[in-house]
Amino acid sequence: MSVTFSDADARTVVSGDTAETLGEVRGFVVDRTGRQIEAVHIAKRGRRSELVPWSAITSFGDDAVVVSSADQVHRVEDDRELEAVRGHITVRGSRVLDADGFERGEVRDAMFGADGRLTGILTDDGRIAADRILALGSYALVIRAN
Amino acid sequence: MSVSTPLRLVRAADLLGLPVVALDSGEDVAEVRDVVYHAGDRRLVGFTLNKRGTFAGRLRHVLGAGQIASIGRDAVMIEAQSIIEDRPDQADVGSDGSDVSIMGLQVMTVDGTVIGSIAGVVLETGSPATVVGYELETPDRTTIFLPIDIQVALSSDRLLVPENTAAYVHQDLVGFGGAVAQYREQTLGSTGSPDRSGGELPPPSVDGQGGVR
Repeated sequence: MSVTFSDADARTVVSGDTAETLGEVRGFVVDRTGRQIEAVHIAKRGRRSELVPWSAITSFGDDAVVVSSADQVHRVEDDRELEAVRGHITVRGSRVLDADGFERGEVRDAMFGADGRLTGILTDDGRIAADRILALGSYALVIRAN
Repeated sequence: MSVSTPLRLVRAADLLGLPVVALDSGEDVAEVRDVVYHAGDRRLVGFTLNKRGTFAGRLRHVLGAGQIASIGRDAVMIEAQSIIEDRPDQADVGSDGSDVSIMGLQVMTVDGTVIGSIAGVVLETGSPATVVGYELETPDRTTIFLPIDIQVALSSDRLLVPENTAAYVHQDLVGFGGAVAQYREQTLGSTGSPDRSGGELPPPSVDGQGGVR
């Protein structure tokens, strides 16, 4: 399985234990290494932003994302989640900076697997494998230089 | 096989305001306030820093040349964010009162011809970054570049350079890179390092600010 961030946009999020709709995918919280999704940011009309830890996702299906239990949905708990929900630390739209100090465009999209690990990013300059990613912060996604 | 890689040169003044970004976090932890160069040792000391942000002031931390992972067109990279966070109370560089700025210092050949005044320094990027040249403003207000190794003597009054300096002077950084490489080839003795003796007067402890303020 490989899904892009843009494919996942607005995908319905369903609770596996109650079958209710929890919301839809709004974005992702990616860790400081820039390679692992920690949580999925979900939104529902009339409610504040909420998050589901990646570990609680049982399936990232073509039509819906299934969460093990509705109890797994939580409000923003830490700075990383807050920065992601506010759009300050996001993979898509992030400036790409290589380790030599040269900008390499912007992230247009990102791909991830069933384990929540990024497999690559799409930038203005083309596709970059995830193993070149060094860090993701509010200023830039840093990659190894060529 | 001797394939020489092109030198990556940058004017120190062009680094001012560049973000300092940590490789381990992707955060811009500071920005370059000024470039500190020890003219006596012909050595890049490092960068003084400003905080990032609209109302941000100066950071006490001085980023040493050895702490810089790389200098690029768009950012100065450091290995870890903690390099700057862990040392907030470092003293200012050049606070012992014996320091003289090289900015504006007269540059004269040993036969007594003034060729200009120092307007900045030129760095070769890499790890560690080194100072390879001076940027000079000539009496007719053009900019020229001079290899650092050409220096004969330095005082707080002037920098003395050899008579034949014109051969190594360039008006653009691209040509200057070639001149530095050429000069190094010619002066590399059996020791494998550039000759830096050459009748040099004992220089005072001179610190220079590479940036234009």
